[in-house]
Amino acid sequence: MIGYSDDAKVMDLLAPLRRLEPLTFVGSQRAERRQRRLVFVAAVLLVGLVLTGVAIADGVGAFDGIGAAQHPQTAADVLDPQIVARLQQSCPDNQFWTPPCHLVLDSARLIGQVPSGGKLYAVADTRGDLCIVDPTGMICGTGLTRSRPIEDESVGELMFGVALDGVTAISFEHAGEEVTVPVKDNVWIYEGVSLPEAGALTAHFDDGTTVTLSP
Amino acid sequence: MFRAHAPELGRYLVAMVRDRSLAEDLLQDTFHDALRAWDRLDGVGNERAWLYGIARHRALGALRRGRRFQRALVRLGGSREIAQEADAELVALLDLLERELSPELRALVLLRYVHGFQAAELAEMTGLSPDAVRQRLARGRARLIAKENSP
Repeated sequence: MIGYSDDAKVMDLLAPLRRLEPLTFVGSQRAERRQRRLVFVAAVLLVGLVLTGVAIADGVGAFDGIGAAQHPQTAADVLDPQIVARLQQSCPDNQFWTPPCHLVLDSARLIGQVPSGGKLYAVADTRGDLCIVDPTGMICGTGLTRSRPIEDESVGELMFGVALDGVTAISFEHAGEEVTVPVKDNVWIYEGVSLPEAGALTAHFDDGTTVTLSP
Repeated sequence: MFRAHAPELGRYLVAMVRDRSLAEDLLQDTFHDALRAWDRLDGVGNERAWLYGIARHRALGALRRGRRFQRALVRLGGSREIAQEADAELVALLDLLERELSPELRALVLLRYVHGFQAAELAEMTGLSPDAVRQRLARGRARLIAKENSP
């Protein structure tokens, strides 16, 4: 059981971080040199972006290893207007850095549904990262790889996520018992446990190997 | 604003990226972003949370680029030297955070337990729901306590 005392324990554990010495401010000359370097890098990146812009809009890179999202966008993949409205609301002008502001909405692919009927979408962001947009929120990560083959999310006692091609099941321990959740079309959903209760998740591949993830 | 927030923001960035030189650049980038958005600051209710939100975004971006760079180096058979502090307890603590928590979760845990932000403020910074923030914090807390208690 996790309670207030655990908050205090973590605060105590992390208290030594207050000893980190403050930083010195970078001088203006160095800043100007960086600025010139950044302009050059930005120019190179711009050329790259022009060449790869269409690929990002199609979710290429972000959707690598997610077979369920590897198809041309259809009408069913287009984000529900309510979700678009919510995402736009989450990106006010002065919060330009927040994840909803970086979503490439046109890249959405419908990948599953939670038991309440709400839809799960895979969406690329402007950095080519993978975001999962669900009925109440969203989560972004750097895309799925063999060493990090799942992205997980939880709302109340509903856990769900996306898994790399070849992952057949997700397992975790709950109340001393191992729970195994099958993966269907890259999506896994389990109702009855929240992520903190589930602890570490293990992905099971079709070749018999497993990968256990830190949260 | 810089004088009021820079020391604490700097500590946050060092704890996130573990590289003082990179953290200095990120601190500058954070204030650069803030200055560029200065005319939009009127609509910001919590200036401190707003700055930390930018710093978090900058730190996660740098770590993401760092991971890609590191993967490329590994493929080439090289390695990257990371500047570390001389304080053994601090190094052990930063090692623990880096080993046990993903960068996104580390950012949340530091913001909550070192810098004192509440779940609602963290939700605004991250785009997650307050419930999702609480769940993630509980997960990170459990993970750190379990590792701290293990022999």
